[in-house]
Amino acid sequence: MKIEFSVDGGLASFPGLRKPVTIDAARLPPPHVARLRKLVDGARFFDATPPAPSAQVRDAQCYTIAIDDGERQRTLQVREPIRDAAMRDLVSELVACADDQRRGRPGPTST
Amino acid sequence: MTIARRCACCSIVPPAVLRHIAQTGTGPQREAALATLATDATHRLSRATTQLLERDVRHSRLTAAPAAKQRTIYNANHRTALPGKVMRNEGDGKTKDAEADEAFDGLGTTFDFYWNVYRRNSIDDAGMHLDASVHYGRKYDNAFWNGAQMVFGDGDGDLFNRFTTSLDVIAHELTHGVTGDEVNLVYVDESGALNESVSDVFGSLVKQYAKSQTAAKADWLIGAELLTAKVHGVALRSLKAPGTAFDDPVLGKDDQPSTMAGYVHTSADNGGVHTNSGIPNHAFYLAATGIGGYAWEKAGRIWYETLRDKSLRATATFAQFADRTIANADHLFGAATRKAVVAAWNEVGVAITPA
Repeated sequence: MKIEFSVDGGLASFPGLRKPVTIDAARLPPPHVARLRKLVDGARFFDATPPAPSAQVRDAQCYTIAIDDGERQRTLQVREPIRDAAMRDLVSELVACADDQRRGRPGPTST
Repeated sequence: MTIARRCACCSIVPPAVLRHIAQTGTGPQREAALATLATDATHRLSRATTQLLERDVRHSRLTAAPAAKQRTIYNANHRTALPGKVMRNEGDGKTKDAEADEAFDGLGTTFDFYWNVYRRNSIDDAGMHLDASVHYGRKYDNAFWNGAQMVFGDGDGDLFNRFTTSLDVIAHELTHGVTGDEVNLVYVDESGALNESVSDVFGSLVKQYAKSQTAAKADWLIGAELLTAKVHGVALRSLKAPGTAFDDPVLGKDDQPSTMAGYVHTSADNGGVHTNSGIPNHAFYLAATGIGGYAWEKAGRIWYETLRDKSLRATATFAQFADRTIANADHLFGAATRKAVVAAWNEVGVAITPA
């Protein structure tokens, strides 16, 4: 499984945080991969229909998540506020993974 | 043309849908939506008339009683369901939760600014309840306005502090509500950058007012308190010197331009609304310092009245907004102030209409 993840928008423009990050399951320890798969399944990523964003939201972030699971591929844009708890958990994990990569940290940081 | 002349109540495509297309559609779709919004002048006039009639009936501007703020702070409890559980209502004492109490105080200071300086009774000038949720998400590095309330994250504690710690950020978010109530600048491209700039301008003015700072003494920074000592930077943005707020290995380099020569054409961030806001931000700084004194008194008044100007469209470009600030400067304060505002827009390279 490969995940491309990027963040757009928010209160401020941080070019460094806008760069897409690739999360490759082949490079992760098995427990982390299992955790990711569980979160992807829990969010029903390949079937979910995120609600249309409100036109009045300001300074909210938009997450672009592209997942290639071998058999299935899908790209979703998910905007704050994220009402679905499972999708929220997936986004939080991806944010943490992206953070680790950008800062050169070795492993998952989210709890 | 027939569609453009219809008012909002009988348009085939509601303005909210058009705005959504303008923000999320393809290039041709966005252009078409913006063009439709721009020519729908009857909607704006109808809305303005309705608002005026409603204000005559119930707004405190026409009464002797001072406006009363009504605030509620909610605890989102590290989840994302809004608003969360009530933590503090108007009249309640401190909670000892730093985020909740900072949000409460910041909402109050912002409310007081709008009432004391411009006689505006809350976001909608009708005493709208001020709601904010704190502890949104986990280590959430952001704050936003969801159309009805403010939402604040705690920050990751590594690069970002809690987002309630910055008064200008609280005022920035609340001002999105004010803009939404007035001209509702479409949140894409130049009108979106103006939307962001207006929030930065009044965010900074609220801070300056709270500190009784003149334009010359103010730091003109947005979110200076948000960045931890680990970050190579001083703030999220600078109105005085766009593009200099940060240069960090993780966050990147502040990419705000200060003049039209540096305007960024991008599809990211709704056409770079947080980037290109640097240009009108810098124009305001130049106007305020050129005029001198306290920035909220003249420059702020000019910008505020421009926000309420019935000639200003939701799809306003920088040039159209600039033209209204110049006209309002002349109308409110005369030739000398007008000259300072003209000089400011000239310096940032926005093409204003010759007198």
